[in-house]
Amino acid sequence: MVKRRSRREALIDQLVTLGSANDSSQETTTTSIRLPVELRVALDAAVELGLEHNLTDTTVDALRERLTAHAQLLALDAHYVEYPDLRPSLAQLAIATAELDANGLAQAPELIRQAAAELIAQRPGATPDDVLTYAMGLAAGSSAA
Amino acid sequence: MTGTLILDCEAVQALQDPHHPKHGRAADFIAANAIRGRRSAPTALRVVVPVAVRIEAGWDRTAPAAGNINRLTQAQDLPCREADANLGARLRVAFPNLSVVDATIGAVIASSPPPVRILTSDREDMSQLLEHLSIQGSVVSL
Repeated sequence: MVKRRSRREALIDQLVTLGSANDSSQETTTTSIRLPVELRVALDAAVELGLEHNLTDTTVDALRERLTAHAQLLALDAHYVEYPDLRPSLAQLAIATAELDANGLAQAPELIRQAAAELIAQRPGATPDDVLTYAMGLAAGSSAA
Repeated sequence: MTGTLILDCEAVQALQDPHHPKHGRAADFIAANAIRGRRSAPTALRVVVPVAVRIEAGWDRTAPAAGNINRLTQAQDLPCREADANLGARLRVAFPNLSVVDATIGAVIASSPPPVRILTSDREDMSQLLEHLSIQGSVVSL
């Protein structure tokens, strides 16, 4: 029997194929959006300062970044369901984050593990960056003692 | 998102195969970066792959077996343009033992928005390239 794909699965497929297409191969569409006035004023200033190109590029870049991240995390979730042993702990993600940042804490994985264990008990939704901030506090505390 | 995360051949090979000994570690970097991207953190990195790396690692995006790495990385292809080929050629003169693929990675390093991170198992060669090109970046070892 052929399994029927759910609407959610089809939507996830649409989202995760986002990054497979190159910029030049994509068709465009015109969309009207409403912006808070102060945001538009700030954007005009950023363009004049040479920090941004224009509204379209800035909006497209920001949207692409957010949607790409959602797509990656959905794909990773599905991957970890298939390979549960690969699912990283918060501490592993924090160590990876420190390595990506070339942060010296990456050389102290035990401290990061301690920070993750203490933080997750207080705040289950803590992010890897929260763990690194907490670990910095632990490191400062131990060096001051 | 201002910086760049470059995948080298072993990073691609590791991400392609869930049974590769470094798959979990490579995926952790992708996950850690995506968590930042979801929050629009300015420290989130754009994941890119030089096309020469894709060729060497056998990553055909249209192949059914590539579905996993396509979805996990959402990596953007970086083609080798004329200026990249010229710089790659100069890098091979400077470092005669540098492979063609690593020379193209060098060209990508030079043209990518900093900070640049290279996910690789070849720390020595990649560090040498960063230093030679005076690029703000670092090597992330698999």
